[in-house]
Amino acid sequence: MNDAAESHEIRGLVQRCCRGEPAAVASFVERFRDRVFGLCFRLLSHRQDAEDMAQETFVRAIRSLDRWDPARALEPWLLTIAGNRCRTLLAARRRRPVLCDDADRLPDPTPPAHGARELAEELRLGLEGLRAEHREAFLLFHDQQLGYAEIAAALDCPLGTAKTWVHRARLELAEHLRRRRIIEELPDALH
Amino acid sequence: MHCTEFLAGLQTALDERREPHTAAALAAHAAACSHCAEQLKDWVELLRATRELPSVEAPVGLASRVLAELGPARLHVQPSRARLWQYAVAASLLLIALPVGWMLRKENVAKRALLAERERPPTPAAAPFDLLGEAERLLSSSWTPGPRGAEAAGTGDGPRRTNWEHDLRESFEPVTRSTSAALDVLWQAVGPESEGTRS
Repeated sequence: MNDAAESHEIRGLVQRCCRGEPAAVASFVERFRDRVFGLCFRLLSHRQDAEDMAQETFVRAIRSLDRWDPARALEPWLLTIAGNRCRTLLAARRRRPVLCDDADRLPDPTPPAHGARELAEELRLGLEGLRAEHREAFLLFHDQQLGYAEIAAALDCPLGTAKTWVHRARLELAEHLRRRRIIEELPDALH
Repeated sequence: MHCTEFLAGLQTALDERREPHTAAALAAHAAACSHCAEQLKDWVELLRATRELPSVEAPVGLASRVLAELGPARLHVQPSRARLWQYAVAASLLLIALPVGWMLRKENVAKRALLAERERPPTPAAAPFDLLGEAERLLSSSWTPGPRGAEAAGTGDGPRRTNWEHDLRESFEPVTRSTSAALDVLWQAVGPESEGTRS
């Protein structure tokens, strides 16, 4: 499906959602759920919290669909709402830390192949150590494949700031992975 | 290529979603500079780690949960601020139209009364009132109304009187016109046609 046909289809779906058709709302959620949930999960590293934030994202988005500008892509707008919800939850977590159920923190329902798993887990830990806006900017660029202009719109910041945040996140993550590699190589050096 | 240029080239490659180690200039510099070769290794590993992030699938029941939270009564999208402004403008027009229409109606009634007064034939000199004769005349005649509107236009044969229904309709015409215009504006703002044009 080309871009024009896809955007036409999305506009039709949005209009049906605005008319309150439950089937249209279900289709809307089905269409975007993986992207929205994926971002929430990566930002929060907690499955139950990610489900709650994804649900809240869709509820808010559907209630304010008439504010969406059809000239702009819908997906970045949805991811903006998801990012805002997650940042709010992260701020609440900082104010009021809660004990997380380890089962909820299990990172991946479909674990990667052996060897890559450690690398992915290391990256996840590195992401957790980043500032929230750096982490979100990095994930929007590398995981959600958004462009810098869309990231700037999603994070409500200038284009240059969005670029800087992605670059800083890359630097910190590369440094994190490098430290991990050095630690892993140390035992070999000692032998 | 200097090391600073190498770093800038690395970032550009990443921004353009290219594999940095496949860029010939970067690879050539890394082959000659051990420090930059280490950096290139870090970046390549970072990209590999990003790709290794496992795909995340949303829970299957998410749509049902969203529908349940929205609920049938709350499923309809709330009017936006722009839509509320349209309601406010339409209501304001209605509030302005009603008193203006009322004033026009009063003016119309006054004008008609003045015209009727001018058109009335001069009253003959008052004759002494014959009470018995008048009563006899009334009892002997039965009045029947003429065709509607004919008397108002002055062509009726019966006694000169005002066709109240015709007058009332004409008097209220400015009110109905202005109210109808205001209702049209309101309907355009909230009616079903506006749904399709809404963004």
